[in-house]
Amino acid sequence: MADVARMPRARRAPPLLWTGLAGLAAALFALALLLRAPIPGDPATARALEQVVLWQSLLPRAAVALLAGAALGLAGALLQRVLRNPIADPSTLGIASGAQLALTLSAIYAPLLGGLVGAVPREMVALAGGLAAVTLVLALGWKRGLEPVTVALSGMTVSLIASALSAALVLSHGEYVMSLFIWGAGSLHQQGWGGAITLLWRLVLGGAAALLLLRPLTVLALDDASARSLGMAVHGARLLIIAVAVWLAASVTAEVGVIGFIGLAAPAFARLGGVRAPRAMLIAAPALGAILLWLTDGVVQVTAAGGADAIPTGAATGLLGGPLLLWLLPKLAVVERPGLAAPAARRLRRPLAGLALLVVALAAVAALALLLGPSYDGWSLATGDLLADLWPFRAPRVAAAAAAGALLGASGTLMQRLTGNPLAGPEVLGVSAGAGVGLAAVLLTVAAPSVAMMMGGSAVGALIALLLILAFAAATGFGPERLLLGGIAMGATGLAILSAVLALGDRRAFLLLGWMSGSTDRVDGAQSLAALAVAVLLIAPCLLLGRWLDILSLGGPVAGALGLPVTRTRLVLAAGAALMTAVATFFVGPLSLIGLIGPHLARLMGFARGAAQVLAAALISAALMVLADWLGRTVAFPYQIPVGLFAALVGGPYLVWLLRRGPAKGA
Amino acid sequence: MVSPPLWHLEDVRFAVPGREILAQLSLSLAPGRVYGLIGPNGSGKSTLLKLLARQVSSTGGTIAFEGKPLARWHDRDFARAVAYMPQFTPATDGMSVRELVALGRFPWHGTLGRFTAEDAAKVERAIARTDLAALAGRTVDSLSGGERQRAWVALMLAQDPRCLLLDEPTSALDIAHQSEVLDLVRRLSRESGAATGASDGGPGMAVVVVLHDINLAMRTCDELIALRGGRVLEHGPARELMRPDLLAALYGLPMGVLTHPVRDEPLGYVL
Repeated sequence: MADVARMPRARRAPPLLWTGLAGLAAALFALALLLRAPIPGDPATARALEQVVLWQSLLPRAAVALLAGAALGLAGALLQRVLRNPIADPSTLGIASGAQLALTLSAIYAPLLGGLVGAVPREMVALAGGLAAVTLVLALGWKRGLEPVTVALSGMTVSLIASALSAALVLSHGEYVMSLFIWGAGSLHQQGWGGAITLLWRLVLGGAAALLLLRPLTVLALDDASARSLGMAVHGARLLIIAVAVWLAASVTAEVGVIGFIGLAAPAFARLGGVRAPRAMLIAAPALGAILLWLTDGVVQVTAAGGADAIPTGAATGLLGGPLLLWLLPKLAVVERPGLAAPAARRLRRPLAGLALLVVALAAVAALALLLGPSYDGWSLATGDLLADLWPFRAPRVAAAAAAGALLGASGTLMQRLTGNPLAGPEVLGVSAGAGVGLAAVLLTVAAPSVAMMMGGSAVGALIALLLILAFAAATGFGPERLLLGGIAMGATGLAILSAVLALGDRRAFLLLGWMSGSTDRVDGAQSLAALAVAVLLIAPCLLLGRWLDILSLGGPVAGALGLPVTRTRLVLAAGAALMTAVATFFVGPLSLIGLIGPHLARLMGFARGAAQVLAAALISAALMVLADWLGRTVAFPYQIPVGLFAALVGGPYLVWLLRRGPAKGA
Repeated sequence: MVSPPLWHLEDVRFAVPGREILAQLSLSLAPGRVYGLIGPNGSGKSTLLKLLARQVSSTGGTIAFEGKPLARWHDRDFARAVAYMPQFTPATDGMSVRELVALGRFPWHGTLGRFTAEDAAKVERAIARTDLAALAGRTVDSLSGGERQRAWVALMLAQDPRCLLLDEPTSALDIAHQSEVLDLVRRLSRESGAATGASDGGPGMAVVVVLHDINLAMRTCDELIALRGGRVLEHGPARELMRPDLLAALYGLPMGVLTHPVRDEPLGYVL
């Protein structure tokens, strides 16, 4: 278990620390009891009501926090053991998001299908979703021997796709929007003991199963060959244990929604405290998980006691999760494969001709989007008067989509050159999510912000996220896979903050939700022209800086040796990339993944030099975004799928496919 | 005529928290000679080279190139004078050999400057001097290990420098490619005075190279600098350092020296 053996061997003080933390959690709970607002009315009724609130809401809530935390801690410990992967947990493996997607699907479509599906219990639906997600993730990582980083990358990608799908579904059925979002972010609010009792049973059964599987669990800590030589049916035992873990995690998701990272943190803290043996881990991880979730919930309740709507506890644990992951990553024994940046197979003989072809393609796609569309009596080609009528509706959104796509493509190219990583991109590195956090900060602090202020806020947020990730990359030596994981952790943190704000459920939350899904359908003529102008203004200078891009992609040492002021040029390009991302996400949201795909396709087509790649990526991404926008408004006509989400549904599988191809054949 | 030292190091120290990597190191290096940095792992050879290349900054003492402290050199001026190749050369992502070598002209033309006929001529000459003319249109990724190292050397030559710094240029190469690259380095230093055309016929290009293999270092270098524990154990003409007592002190195990049957050079071996 090489990965875990590398964890620092801590002094054996922690039992005391854990007891202290448990005490702190209890104290917070007591504080929350004291601080809650008094119930108005005559004293006798109020007292009776308070009794009800205490016994039917607050105490069950504490119990659910403890039980859900324990279940997640146990699930995390099992998964980490069985996959020999210290960053495996229900959230990094996509189990929680898969379960959530399944529940969203059933919530929306079960009524349509009548009693047949409606009779299936929520837990079974969640279990099916979680199992499907984890199966997909493991299948993706299988070829590379379930190696930790690949599994985590696939898991987070599957998570992202599942979340995008859930969000698209929720948005297209607006009546459910807010309640589903709050549930999705893991609100622990209770109205009785039902949830606690359900979870208790699951935990007892899961714990018993884990105890029965203790021996296989111990042997599985060895590598497969040794385990097999000890006479074990490796795959059978592994699948059984994974099934138990998924069932535990899916039960929690079905009961209280997505609660991220507890399953990651509990076993990690237990290991830090010196817990090694599987048996001790099976006790320590659930105990710590329970304490952690109760503590988080206590903090959430006490901070919310002022009267504001409670932040869902799951969003709060997401906040903890990102930094925790960033802290754990350097300790991972990752075999960095330099082959990830495998050579582009061929080069374009005449890049200018290629670029001209791309311009023609973009024009063709734009013409398609402007002219062709479905109406209530079939497809129609708009010409003459009809086109003149439709022009004010279609032209701005086509222009905005093209501008946003071009900006994302250029920004992705800059990031790939800056980090020397062909899988970098604004979405993957968490820069888009950073833009969202910046926007949220402006929305929360300014009463009626102007468009410029909101864009400024998201630009600052994006820049901070990008600088953080660059600093992280420098500290860990720019390993491509670690960088991606760090970026995804950053994105998870950002999205957790966003879901906390969304949970406020007021006007600002609706603005933010609109931002997240992309809003090309609300763009007016002036805005779209401004977007185009910004795209030209920001992308044109990059063409002059082709030499920087060529030299920087060779890495810091070589760039410095050639006399390029590395830090300054990196900062300039990072600022440019962040600005581009901020403007683009303003129109298409943070999830599109176009900023990853565009530059990648440009490379595959053979645009090897920096300046040519920027321009090619911008053109390709613009065409893709216009196409996604057009498809988003036609495939579900008369409904519209927001452009950002639609693009993510295309981009996510592409990223998965890239990972699946693996570095052996070239990324 | 006594030429001034190309490099002058005085009391140079380099420490990371908790560990001193170089301690009070003083050295003088002359133009036109090939210097080999040898020593066991962790002796500070690569660190010393990175200090010379300004990849890291010393934590004490002074390093002067051509009489001017390193901190006072401008980025591009320094890159015109000193070229550095890291131990692990990065992937070049579809770039052709000629494009890679042309990057070596960046210190001269800068971000927006025109790529002049002189730049193009320097690039072609660098390619010719490293015998890459036939491969100039190929992508760097498609070359063999030795050819790829030669392409990187060509990039350094295009910088038109007065000193080359090479960090273990042969670490990933088999024995044939090792001597191919090192013979090239040695030849370049010999011919540099006349061949670059740019210089005034004065002393040629100096080379400082980190090498693991003591015998390759002996073959390639004029002088050797033996480092152990962050200090200079001895610095002198290569032949004079090939003594059993010095090698034993350097590597901490008994070593012997015999004479190469053909080349009449000393050869070190482990007893």
